[in-house]
Amino acid sequence: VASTALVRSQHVLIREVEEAVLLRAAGDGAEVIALSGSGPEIWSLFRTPSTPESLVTELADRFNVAADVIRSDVLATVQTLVEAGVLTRAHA
Amino acid sequence: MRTTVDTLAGVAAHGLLGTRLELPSEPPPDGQFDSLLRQLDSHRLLGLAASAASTERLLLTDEQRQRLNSEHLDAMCACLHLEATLLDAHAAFSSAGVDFRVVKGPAAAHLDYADPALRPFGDLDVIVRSEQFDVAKSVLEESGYRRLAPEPRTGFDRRFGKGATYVAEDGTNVDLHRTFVMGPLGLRVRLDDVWATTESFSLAGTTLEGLIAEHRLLAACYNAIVGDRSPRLSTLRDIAQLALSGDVDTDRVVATAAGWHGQHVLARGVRTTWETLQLGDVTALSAWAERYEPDPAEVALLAIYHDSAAGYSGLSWATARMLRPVERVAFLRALAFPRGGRLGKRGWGLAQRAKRAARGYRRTAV
Repeated sequence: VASTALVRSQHVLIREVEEAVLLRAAGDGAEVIALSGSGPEIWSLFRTPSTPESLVTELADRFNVAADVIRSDVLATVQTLVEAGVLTRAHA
Repeated sequence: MRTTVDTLAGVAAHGLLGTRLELPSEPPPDGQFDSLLRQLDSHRLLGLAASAASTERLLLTDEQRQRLNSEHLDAMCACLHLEATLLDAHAAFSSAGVDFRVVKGPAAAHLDYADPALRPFGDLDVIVRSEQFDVAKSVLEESGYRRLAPEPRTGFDRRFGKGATYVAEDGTNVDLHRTFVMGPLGLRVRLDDVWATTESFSLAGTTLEGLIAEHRLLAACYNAIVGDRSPRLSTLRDIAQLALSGDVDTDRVVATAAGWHGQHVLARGVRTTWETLQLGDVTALSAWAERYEPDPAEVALLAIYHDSAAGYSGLSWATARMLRPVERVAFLRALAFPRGGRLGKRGWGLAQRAKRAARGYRRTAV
């Protein structure tokens, strides 16, 4: 997953509430994902196609931390978003 | 000390230019907050309250604010599930060739507010064409929905009814409308007007059709003035939101209301909104509403809806009187001798139904 370019699915229902973003894939039985902390930032960066690894680099620069410190958290969040059906493979 | 009612109205008016309402200058006592939170939820005001709290217009303790935000988050999760259901309904209706418009909550949230998170809703409302009402019912039933109250007689819904409420296994309610309100005012709505126009919005990449602004405003006024015994504050906010948006053409909405015999409803809806939310701005529409003087027939018609003693039978008789003779017979027959036990659960026999119907007739035959 880390090197696959991903982008927001078009078929996502979204609400921005206070300091969180709620996402739900359209379709039967999907669950609502609540993103808080750096989650909304990660979601925001997937407006354009990005690989999770490039996202780690981008966020590390933005928050001035080592990429290794945040990699596992970022990849776990991305994995959750993929499983929830709100991120999809970007087509070239 | 400000009462919960004052605070609710203040929240409903939050962000509207020209309101004279002010929110309390201190957080509510904890004992009062529980009740406030419940009522914010039932009036669908959690979004406006969270917004007012985030800008410190609504003063809360840290704990109260956390609870409000948590309730708002729960309400928005519910809205996302409802919107997913709406998309499923859209797919099912579309494949069956059923034309529909989204009305009330979801349409208001997406068409009339800068941020849909400001406008929670608790169910789905769609309006379908009279001639497609039966197909639409079948679509919902085939999708696993159960109708709450059976149709009195075959064909009653599409000829005389306001609509029907369906409930899914998970408790999701879908109100399937044919017109905006039951009774004589509902039958006078020119449904061709509704179907001749549309305003669309996008949900998860799907385009959904709603009503145009003038029709949304009228529908909200019907809901506020004759739909609920006491209007939800979110409905009055919807009216204010539309009336102050610049999207509503005053001449057009007044002319449409006249065509639907609904000018009194429009005037009352706008006046009630201006009074409740204490709006100081005078617009062309609010000035018209203030000036509008209903004729005695309009006053009598609206009184039927507000006369709790006449109740459903009063409305039924008033409806019957405006129908052509053949339709009147079919209408009264369906109510007096329903198939499917519409009144059966109340344990009423034929004599009791007849007595109740006659009582309604005496009260409304003016």
